Amino acid sequence: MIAIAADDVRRPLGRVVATERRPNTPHEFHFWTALDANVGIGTIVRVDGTVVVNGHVPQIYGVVMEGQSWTDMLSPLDDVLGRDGQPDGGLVATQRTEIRLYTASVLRHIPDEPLQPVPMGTVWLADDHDIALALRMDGYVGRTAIPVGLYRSGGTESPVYLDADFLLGPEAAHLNITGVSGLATKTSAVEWLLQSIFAHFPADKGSVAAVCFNVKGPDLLYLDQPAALAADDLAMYEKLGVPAEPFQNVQYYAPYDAALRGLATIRSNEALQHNVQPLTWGLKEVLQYAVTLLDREDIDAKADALIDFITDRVVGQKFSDPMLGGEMIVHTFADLDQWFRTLLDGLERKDSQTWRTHHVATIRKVRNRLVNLATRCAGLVTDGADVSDLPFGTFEDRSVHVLDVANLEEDAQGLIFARVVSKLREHLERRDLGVNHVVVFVDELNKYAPSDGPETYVRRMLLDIAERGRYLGMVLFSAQQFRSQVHKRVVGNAGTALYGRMDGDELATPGYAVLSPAVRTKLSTLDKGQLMVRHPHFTQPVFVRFPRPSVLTGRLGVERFPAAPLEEFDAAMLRRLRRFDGGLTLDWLRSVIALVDEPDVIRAVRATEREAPRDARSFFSAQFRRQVAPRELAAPQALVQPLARPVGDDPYGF
Amino acid sequence: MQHAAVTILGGAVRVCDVPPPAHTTFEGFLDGIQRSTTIAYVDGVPLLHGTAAAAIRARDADGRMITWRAPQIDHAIYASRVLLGDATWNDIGAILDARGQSLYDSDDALPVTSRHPSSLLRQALDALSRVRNDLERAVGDTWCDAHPERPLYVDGSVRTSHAMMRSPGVIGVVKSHATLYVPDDALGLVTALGAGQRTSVIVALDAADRPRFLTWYLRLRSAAGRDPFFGLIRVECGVRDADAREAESHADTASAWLLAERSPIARPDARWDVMPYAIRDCEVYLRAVA
Repeated sequence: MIAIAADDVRRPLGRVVATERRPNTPHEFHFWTALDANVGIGTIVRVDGTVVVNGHVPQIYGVVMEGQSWTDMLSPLDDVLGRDGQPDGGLVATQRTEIRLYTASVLRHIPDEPLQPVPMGTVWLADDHDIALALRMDGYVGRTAIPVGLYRSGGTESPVYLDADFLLGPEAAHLNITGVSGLATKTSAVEWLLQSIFAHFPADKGSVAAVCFNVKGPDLLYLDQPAALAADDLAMYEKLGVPAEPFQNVQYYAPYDAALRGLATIRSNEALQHNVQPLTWGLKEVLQYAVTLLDREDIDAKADALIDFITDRVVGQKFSDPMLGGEMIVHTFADLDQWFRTLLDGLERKDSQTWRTHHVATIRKVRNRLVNLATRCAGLVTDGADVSDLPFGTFEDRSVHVLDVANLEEDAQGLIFARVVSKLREHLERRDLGVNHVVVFVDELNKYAPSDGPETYVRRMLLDIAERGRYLGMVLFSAQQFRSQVHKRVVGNAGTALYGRMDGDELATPGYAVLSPAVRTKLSTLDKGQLMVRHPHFTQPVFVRFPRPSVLTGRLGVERFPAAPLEEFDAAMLRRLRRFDGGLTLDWLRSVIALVDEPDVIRAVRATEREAPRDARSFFSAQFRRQVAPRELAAPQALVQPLARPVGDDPYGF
Repeated sequence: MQHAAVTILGGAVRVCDVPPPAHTTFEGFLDGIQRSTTIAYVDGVPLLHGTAAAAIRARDADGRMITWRAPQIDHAIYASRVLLGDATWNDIGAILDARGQSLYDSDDALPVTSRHPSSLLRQALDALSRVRNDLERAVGDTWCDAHPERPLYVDGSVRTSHAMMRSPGVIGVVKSHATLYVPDDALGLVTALGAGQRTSVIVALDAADRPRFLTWYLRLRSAAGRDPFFGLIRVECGVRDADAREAESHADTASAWLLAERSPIARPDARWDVMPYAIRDCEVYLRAVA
């Protein structure tokens, strides 16, 4: 195949033709080829002109966007006549003259001026050099090139590069990928591209990290585990200069499950716990983003004002008020509940309807809504003060942080997204995140940034990243099944767009009208690992292949590292503690927590996890108040004789 | 209507059923075209620009047509030298020569009989036809020299070329029937031929009554309800040193090949009933390049 391919590149592929009814223009031309020519939709070709213009023989690069074939048959009836009406009948001695006519969209004219219609000339399959020129990659290859895949056609196999300045900023930024579900294309493409970015992002552009929100399934949960790759994939890695290795620095974060017995993630296999951390926030962390959880129609301006007051004046500081009867410090949801109770009791005692201009009804309402947050986001929001968070400020270069929010309610997902993105933004603005660029990957954009439906905090944040993120170094990599149903400003601000196999209904929407019918057909039949790429440097979409990610797929990961089974409470707590001391036993734990309530045990486990003490056994035990040691009760001593002894067989003893 | 001098093998024209065609072995298809335009009149004498071309299109193993060697193409001006006079003739010749074109005397074969412009034009067209025939013959002879055994389908008569007459694989197909090769009393039999039927072999004689070539009529397509000549062709081939039985056998074989060439149909050419697609292909090719 390679030998044939080499010949194909050396032999002319076809010839440019133009008629009055089908003329060539500066942006489009037609050419015919032999019937066996190795050309198809997406093939990049070069036209060598024959007439010198302004001192140069023009060369034009184009990508095939449409193909047609026909014969000299005047009417289908001719074939019926020729075969005596029998489809398999008759001897057909001669094959009819047939034409293969292709239409190509111009990628580039060399020289650029004067811009003229494409001249008649010979058409050649593009080689590596041609591909670089055609896609204008010659301007950034060797400086800011990020491999996105291999262009393969007609035996040519050339790397295609994105420009980091247009992928991660500052010129343009953001990437959006769309395609039908179930082919693993979207997630695989993002995993591959992150690997490519980590391998090729130039050092002089600074450092880069990724924050991925795993909103469904296990696909992002084994990024640190190697995959068995086929030879073809390995060859692609080699050609594209990306190490076929899993990510070296990955941290996983997940809130606890609702019962607080373990983390709400499928990545719960004991062998993978070394880089899995709980994601838990306390009152202070949550209150700032409480608006994401509160119903805007329910929380009016008065309630908003009270929440702001509590956030600014009450939480985390000494607060005294005559109505409270003294000084209080609110650190936790439990403290806040106590604060509200004290306040309301004071109001009742004094028979007052207002406190600091806030009506008692508003106070009751805000108390109800805020204290309820701990219940609605149980597992994420702690009732105590223990916090486990992303390492804002110490992000490492080429690190990946995966937040597994797949098992959470939408409220909690929204809260996590809002807070994490806000924190990233704050740190990027202050230039103290630890890295200069952070890629935020969000799947299911149809759900989080729909083109219609109510305005949500998450959608506003996505819009904000899309429109202003590139100035900060915050880059949105987003994915969805139906691009047409995503907010236009989110996808419109994505400088780079990738398309996997597309659904026919989606392709019928107006957004795809700019593509030729042949390109739409190709999009609807793309294989796994094939993408159509749009990038600011490419004047036309380009089809590329990318290798399978060198990380374990979600399906294989679940098979190889099955999730830990649901455990009894004490076994679940022991598993969490054994991360710090493998010698701890269930008997020891049971003896320590025998008389302790579950919430106190959880609090102690969290404290141990937070502190990661050298002597976990002692640290954990010290978290409980001294208890009276249990002891066996002696057999009761009979001090009073029974009034009467039973007589004979009278059971009543009378 | 003219009658050719013939001898009927077996004494009388018979109707023969051709064996069903299983395949065709024609490898080459020879055809020619001509095109003309009257470009000027000099003292009432027409100057005709004529293009004649001939080529063989070969059929490869996949049934696709490719050109065998280079086509023969001739562009020239045809005029009556006698009527133009030597001085004018030489002036025009010099101009054309500078442009790389030729000037042919249309009186070369036949003397001028009338100064009527239509007559002169007809004479020029006849000259152009002769050039076309020469080109066809030259191309055919080249084929016969190169591949004397390989079957060649010739659109038209083969009797003008000794080489083609001698080559056993060459078959000429005549689509017009201005000259009859059967006696009048056998004409009804010819016009009544059904699809896939032929006449027995007829020996055409030269002026000395010697066998010149073999010919027979073949009905390619049913003419029911149509012109009696619809789908009717006359086949020519050289005379072989063989007996009548072998001649009939050869006619069966060649007729079966010709029947196999009926598909694909040669539409939209108006002569599709008697023209194989490969000959149409050759004509289209020549029109494109000549």
